Amino acid sequence: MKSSIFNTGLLAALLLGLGLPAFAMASAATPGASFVIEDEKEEAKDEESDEDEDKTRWYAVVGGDFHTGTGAVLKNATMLCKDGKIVELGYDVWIPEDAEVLDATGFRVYPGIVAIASTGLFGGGSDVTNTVDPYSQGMLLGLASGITSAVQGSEIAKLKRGSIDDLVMGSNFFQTMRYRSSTPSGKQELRQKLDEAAAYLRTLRAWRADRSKDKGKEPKATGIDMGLVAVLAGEKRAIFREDNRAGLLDIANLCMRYGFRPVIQGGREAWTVADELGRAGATVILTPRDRRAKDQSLIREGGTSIENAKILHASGVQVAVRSMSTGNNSMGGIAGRDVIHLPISASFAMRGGLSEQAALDSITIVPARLAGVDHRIGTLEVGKDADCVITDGNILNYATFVQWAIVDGAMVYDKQAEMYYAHIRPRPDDQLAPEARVDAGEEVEEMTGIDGEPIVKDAEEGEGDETPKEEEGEKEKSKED
Amino acid sequence: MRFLALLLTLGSLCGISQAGDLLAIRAKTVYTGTGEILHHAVILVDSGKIVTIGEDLPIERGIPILELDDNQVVVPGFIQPYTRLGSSTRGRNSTDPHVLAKDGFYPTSALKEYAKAGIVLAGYYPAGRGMPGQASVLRPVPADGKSYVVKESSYAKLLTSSSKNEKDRVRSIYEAIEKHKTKAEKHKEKYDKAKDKADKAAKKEKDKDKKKAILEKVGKFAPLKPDAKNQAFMDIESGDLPVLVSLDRAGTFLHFKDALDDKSMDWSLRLPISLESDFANIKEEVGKAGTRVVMDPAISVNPGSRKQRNLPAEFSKAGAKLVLVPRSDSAFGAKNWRKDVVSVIRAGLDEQTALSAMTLECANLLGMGDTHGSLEAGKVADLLILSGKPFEPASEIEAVMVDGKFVHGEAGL
Amino acid sequence: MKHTLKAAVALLALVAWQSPLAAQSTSPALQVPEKVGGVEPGAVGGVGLALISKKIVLAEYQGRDVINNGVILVKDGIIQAVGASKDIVIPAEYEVMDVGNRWIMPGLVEMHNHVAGRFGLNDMVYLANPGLRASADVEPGNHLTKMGLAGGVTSVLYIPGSGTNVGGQGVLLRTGFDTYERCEIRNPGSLKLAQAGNPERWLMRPGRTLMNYNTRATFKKGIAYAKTWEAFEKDGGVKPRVNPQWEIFRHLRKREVHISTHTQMYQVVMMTITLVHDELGLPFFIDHGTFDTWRLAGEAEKREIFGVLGPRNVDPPNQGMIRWTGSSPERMQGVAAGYQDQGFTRIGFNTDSPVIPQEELQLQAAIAVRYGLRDKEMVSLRGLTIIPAMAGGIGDRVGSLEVGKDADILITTGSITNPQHSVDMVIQLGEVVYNPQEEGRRW
Repeated sequence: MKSSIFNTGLLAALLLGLGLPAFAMASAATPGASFVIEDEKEEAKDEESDEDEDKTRWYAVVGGDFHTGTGAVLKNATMLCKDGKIVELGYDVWIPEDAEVLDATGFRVYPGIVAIASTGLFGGGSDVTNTVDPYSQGMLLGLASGITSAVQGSEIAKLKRGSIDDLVMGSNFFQTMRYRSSTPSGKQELRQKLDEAAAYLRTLRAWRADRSKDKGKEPKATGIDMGLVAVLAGEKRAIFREDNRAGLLDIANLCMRYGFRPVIQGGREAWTVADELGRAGATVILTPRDRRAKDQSLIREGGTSIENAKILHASGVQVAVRSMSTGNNSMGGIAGRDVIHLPISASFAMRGGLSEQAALDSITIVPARLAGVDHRIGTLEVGKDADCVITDGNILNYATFVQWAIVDGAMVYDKQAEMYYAHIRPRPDDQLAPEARVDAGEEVEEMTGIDGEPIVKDAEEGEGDETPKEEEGEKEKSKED
Repeated sequence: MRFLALLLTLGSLCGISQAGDLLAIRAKTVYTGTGEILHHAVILVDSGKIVTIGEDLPIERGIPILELDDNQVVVPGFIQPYTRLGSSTRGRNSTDPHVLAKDGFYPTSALKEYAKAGIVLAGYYPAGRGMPGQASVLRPVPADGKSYVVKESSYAKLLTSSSKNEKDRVRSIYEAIEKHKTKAEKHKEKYDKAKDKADKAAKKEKDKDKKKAILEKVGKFAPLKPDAKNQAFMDIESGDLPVLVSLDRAGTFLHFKDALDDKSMDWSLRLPISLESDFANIKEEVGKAGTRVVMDPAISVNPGSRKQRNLPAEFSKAGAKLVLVPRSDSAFGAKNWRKDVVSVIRAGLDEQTALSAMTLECANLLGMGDTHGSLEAGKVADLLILSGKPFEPASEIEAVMVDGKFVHGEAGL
Repeated sequence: MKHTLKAAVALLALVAWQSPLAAQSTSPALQVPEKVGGVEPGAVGGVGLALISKKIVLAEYQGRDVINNGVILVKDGIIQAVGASKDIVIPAEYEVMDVGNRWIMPGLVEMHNHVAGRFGLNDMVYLANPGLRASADVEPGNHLTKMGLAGGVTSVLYIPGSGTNVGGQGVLLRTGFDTYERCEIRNPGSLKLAQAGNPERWLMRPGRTLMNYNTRATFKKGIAYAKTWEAFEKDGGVKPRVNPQWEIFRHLRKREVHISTHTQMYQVVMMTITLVHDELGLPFFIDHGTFDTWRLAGEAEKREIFGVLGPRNVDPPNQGMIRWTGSSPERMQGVAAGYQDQGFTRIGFNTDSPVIPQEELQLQAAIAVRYGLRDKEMVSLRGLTIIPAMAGGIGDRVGSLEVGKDADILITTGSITNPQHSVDMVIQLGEVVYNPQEEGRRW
């Protein structure tokens, strides 16, 4: 077993070692050059039209290790953002003279976290556009925890300190459905409505496909639930609040019958029907730390399992992680359970065996997908919004802090500039993050950010547990401290 | 100085006919309210106005002289530009910028206390949420005992917050103007059509009288007059009617500007200072623009801490024009006004800025800076005689002059 | 051209994508040695059990942190030997269990537990109830306790609530067994004292003056009672009458049990220190110790007092807190970090379960580190084990892996301070009491 771990690590290191320079070459040799030309052209045009107002805004994050969320890790790379969008991500990137540059050498860069459920991060009411308070404590703490976008009520919006412009990215992306054994008539009613909606959708599609002149008027939608039509047409996701195994099975069957993919919120017993949910193409929004004892009167499996996320993921169910409390309870003195500790919530899914990549996805791209904004946020890719966080370690590690948050290609949070966390493991200008002290490719000597803590598996490095020799060396070092 | 003396001579010559109103005040120290301190100054008052003011001026024989003690200090009369004292009406939530606050004003005995506290003018704003109307300017104690209202209209008040309704209210101002403009255009088109028709008819008509009658029937063009509300909206757009925008928190400033969407408005900001006011977030922007801010003379704390901050001083330093208002509209508030300002001065606010924030800037807010708010030649003689420096806690207000007449205290006259 | 680049990125992403996943190592299943003569190896009356691990966390108080490539020998539920593989000869009759890359560490110790029973122990008639016993209310092996066990918590102090100044006597329990007799470590296990805060809500709404007066008077009576027994035991004479109301003070005077003190906020804790420690000389530990208590941690350190901190784990900067407790840290102040900054060394953690679920005890350590606790010398792991054990007066029995102590052992996937790591097996008194491979993973 030891050897197999070693092998995987070695393989990864090899792939990294080979892959990255190759990428660097590809980027430098062909498309990069054309980019420069294009950009210069555009810039010139801009200057002509209006110098001050519409000036191109460049922002570059240079030198960090980019955990893009697509699976790729680009070490010591550069991300160039233009007017809030990522235009280049890789190596040998040309940076315009007037670009604002953030030196992230020695730090990690992640896509901004997307909170699938939140309250209070925007400092206002349910209507983010008109009520957001961009100076609120909630927004500051949200960014400090790595959240750059959050769902609040029926909206998904960005967290941008000091700005109220273009925050809301989407709304009403969920169609709430109830399908519960407790109300059999309700189940019957929903099926009937779905039948009607499906029939209407067929008629509508046929009408649209009909090219003849005398095809008549658009079919009337009287009595049809257009929300259901939107779900069947794939324009909206249906969301069910369900924890119980029986209810989850019902939902899976319903969705397979009507051909749409459900979103389950809760899903405490989902691990017992993971295969069925996987076949139904479900996404489950779960709280890894949820706990409920099994109903002892039942023979079948039940209750919560810390392995819920892992089991679901293995069955092809997409998993989004939601914090135990969607508000901000830390300000009451009990930290670790609320939305501003979302990575810790995700790390409990890892405790249950979920892979690190899937855990990261569960708080980035999966929620972005649910809200229908995965073309803009959730991963770091060229063409997407320049929303990222720069951390002093693995974002899923409990001790890691967000050092800077970038939203729409502008810095909206700097740990050292705010009163909340600046004193904790402060970031001296001359001191790099711990990983940076060793050359890329070498094994990391100690755990990120924590002085002398005995080695904790560092997933990114692909190492298993340490060999005794290194341990002793480390221990001696910590004694010296 | 000689030039001034000549002026004085001329002035006194011209003023012979009104010798009864002439008064010269000789004081060791005069704060003019413009940032200047005059020593051994003379203020010549005639017919309620300051004829001239300067240091070491000779005084024509025959003019009554008010010789102040060495410790006595003259400052401009204080102006409380933001009060509701004496209002009997309860505010509604409305958008009625044409309503005048003076229509809801009832003189109360507390106004005498205003005068005793050195307040010579009061900006009296209308009650209500939203945009309840325009502030009127009053004399708390008129020199003639009855002319309370000095200026019917000064600024329109807008109480706004971060919400769709409040943002729509701001937008509605400009929408109403557009609507009226469209209507007016149609009105003009209609007239033009009629006129055109009449002209043609008149051309055909040979009979002179009939011709005249046809033309007279159409008459001259009378532009469509906006109703009072629309007129007020247009005045807001043109800047004739300044707006005092009251914010509940810093974020609302962004929402307000978003709703305003670069439309024209002459606005000042009312930033009420509470314990954890977060207005520091907009300090730089507001200061850079040189916006007028109306604040309470109060020390607040950094949100989430006990770390004190002096927002009035910070805004002033950032470049904002500062107005300080009493922390309460009551007589008690008026009485404590100067004391509260002292606390802000002790925490770092410049003394001259503070005095200006109680006088000239207040007059500017009320649109009366040309005539009131400071001790300058040509301005109305509203002044106070204090027993010491204005921001010495022990200094008492010994006399209050309004329109050249003492309405409180007599300073030994 | 842009498409080309995108394609290139995608291609290379495919090549490199495995790297972050590579470390999801899965150790082989644990092979539990079979019973010999119907008894588990290591358990009382059975053959010995030798555990081999790449890393054994000893968590000795002010001693060794960790042994790499070590062996631990267990027999009759007691640790017989622990050391480096090269130094230890495994006796032939011992059954061997190699845990591979997993860690071995002592079971976690919770000094503030309300879930090991039915919570029928908040008697609110009198303001001081030193005679009441939580042991009457214990429910061994209930669901919440089993969840705690799955989180690695093997010893708990089950205590009355803080609704009165003196809530009664706590009981020290093992969590791995199903009968009270097997669970009991020590009864009485503690005396519960509550100062300020909660007892102010008692029937008559007493203020702090009365509460301190009442506490002092109660304790003085108890001490006087204990002294008459001490005099009798030393000099003989007339045997005093046993009074259950005051019996606990005999244990306290002998320092067999400690006072767990619900105390928080600077002034209140200062009162605890001066009254209970300086004036009355009774053994106690700071329980909670939150809000701005960290500012006087230096005073506690001088007196070698233990702190079991929680469930609040941060002292946040907000106006509500300033008004309520007077604490104004002007930053997100980690509670434990504050103590450490003042030179305090006896940092332990609690959950006040169910305020924080028992199984999340380890998260209290993680949050402490997150919010600034420098985790040198395994401060966080000691705060989960030996420190609370010593605070409660059972540091000689549990809390570290040392010869002669109870074999309460966790086999974990890594440092349990990290929430990503979990407990693969719990052994108590040499018996496997939680084995997720057999009974399913609970936490």
